[in-house]
Amino acid sequence: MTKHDLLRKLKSVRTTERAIVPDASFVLRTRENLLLQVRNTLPTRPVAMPTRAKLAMGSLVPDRMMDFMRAPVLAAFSVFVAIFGGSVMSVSASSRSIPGDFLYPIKIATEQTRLALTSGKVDRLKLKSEFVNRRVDEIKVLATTSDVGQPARMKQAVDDLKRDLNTVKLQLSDVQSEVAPDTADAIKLVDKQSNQIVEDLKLVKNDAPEEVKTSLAEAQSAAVHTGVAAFEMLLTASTDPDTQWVVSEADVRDSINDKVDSISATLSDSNDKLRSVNASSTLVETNENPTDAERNSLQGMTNTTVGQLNAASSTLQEARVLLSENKLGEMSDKLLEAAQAVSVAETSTDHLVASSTQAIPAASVPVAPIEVIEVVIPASTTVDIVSSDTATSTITPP
Amino acid sequence: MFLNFRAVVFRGKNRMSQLIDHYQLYRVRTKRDADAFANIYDRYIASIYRFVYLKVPSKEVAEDVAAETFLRFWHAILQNTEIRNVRAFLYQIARNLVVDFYRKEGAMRRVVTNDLDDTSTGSEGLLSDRGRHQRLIEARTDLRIVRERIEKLKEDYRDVVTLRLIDGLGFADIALVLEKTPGHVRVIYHRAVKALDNLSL
Repeated sequence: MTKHDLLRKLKSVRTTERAIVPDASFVLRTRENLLLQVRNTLPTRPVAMPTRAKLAMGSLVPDRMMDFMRAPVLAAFSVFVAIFGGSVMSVSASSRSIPGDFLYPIKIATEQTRLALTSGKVDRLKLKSEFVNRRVDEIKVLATTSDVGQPARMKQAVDDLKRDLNTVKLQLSDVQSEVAPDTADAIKLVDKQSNQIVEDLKLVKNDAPEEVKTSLAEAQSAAVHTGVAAFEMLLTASTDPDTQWVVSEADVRDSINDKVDSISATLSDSNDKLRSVNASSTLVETNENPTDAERNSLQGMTNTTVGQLNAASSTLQEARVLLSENKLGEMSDKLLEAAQAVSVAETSTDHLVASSTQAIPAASVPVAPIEVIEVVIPASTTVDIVSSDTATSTITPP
Repeated sequence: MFLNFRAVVFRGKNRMSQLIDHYQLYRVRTKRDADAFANIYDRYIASIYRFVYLKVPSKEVAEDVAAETFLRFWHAILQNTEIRNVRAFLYQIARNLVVDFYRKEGAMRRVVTNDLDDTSTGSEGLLSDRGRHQRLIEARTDLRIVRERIEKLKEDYRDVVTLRLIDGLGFADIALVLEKTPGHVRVIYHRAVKALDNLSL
């Protein structure tokens, strides 16, 4: 047999081999058995993104192309780092900047870019909530600074916070129709965050410049409205069987309790401030007496403030009654009403405190001690309210 | 010119096929997609079966080896084994299984000679008519003759000639099956063809 014959036979074998077809029943049976085994042993742990990227590169880019591209890609990357590396570091440094800083616009631009590149509505809501927290942190940092432009910078920061809170409120209504598994978590996050913002702003407001306090009160109000919007969504989800995301009644009750406690605490603080006005008026002695006009003005302000505190207290009490009667559907309006009343009373109290520190030092003789009436509010909170008659007497000179 | 064009088309098809394989493998590994594994099975079960069929004594053994090939392939995926070429990897597993089979039997020669005379072991799926049946018998006989001849070659030469001329694998695929470089395989092939000249035929 020659080499030619051998190759001919090889070709013949190859031709025959190509005509061989496995039995369809064998193919199907083996396929089913294999798939059963594959499905039973398929790992369930999700693959990490870096591993996924590595596999994609390794699988989809041919080795030769990788070898061919390695040098040019490395060179291009080096040039890119040389050109844009400074920008990346600037973005990193800007993350610690506060309003008024040179790098602050870069921080805001970076946030806007991240928001624009985020696709899911729920993810955008979470990201925006994170940015709202940053605004609050910036305000806290600004409150501790003492440079000349601090009030203006702080006012700008508070205005930014109000804007972001309103955006979060709008985003809340956008995610209502979302069926993402973490929708409920995102709304609960906003709900809790709004309570925390109210508390933080309250602390900041105590030492804030006078010209910023009104803006801070507005920001507090915006936070309350955002929180109530989140609460309404949780309430709807807990009662609507068609809602895709699950919220328990306990979550809703926790949300309400947090809000009522927060409003109660604000009311309590305002009451304490009013009592401190009385205390200072009985202790301070100066050489000057207030004029009749100043005295009358302070009396009027005190009457108004006490009236507002009482009104806020009774609204809050109504809210607690609704809560005890489990009328959760009516709670959101009542919560907003109570928050609004407390906010007004708080602003008046602050105004009264500011006015009294200018006028009261004239009170040279101790006055009758303040009389306090107890307004018992259902559940855990008790708020002391100063009676209008006795309060008026605290600033009346002999 | 025409041959070059055909070669370019063949290489293009081959690369596209590899890209599809890698995409399916990527889905199995990252998306945990069992159907992607099924797609790989559908693409290669026939060729692996063919590759095995003439090398083992019976249809039943061929089916067992083909099924075992894909099972081992799945285990390799589970163990995150690097798979640069799915097709070559499957052929490598199948070839090792065939070798294992004869090692266990300890009678490669006996089987090759015996089974070629055993017409009853043919595939019913293959032997749907007498003509095809006849061709199969002839092919087995030819294969026996070829094997007897190339048995005198070195093992490396024998493997490359078989994979290239009978199974129709490209040099790159043979390189992966035999764990050598494509250039080395090319050299071995040309030396093997020369060696066939020198055999006392």
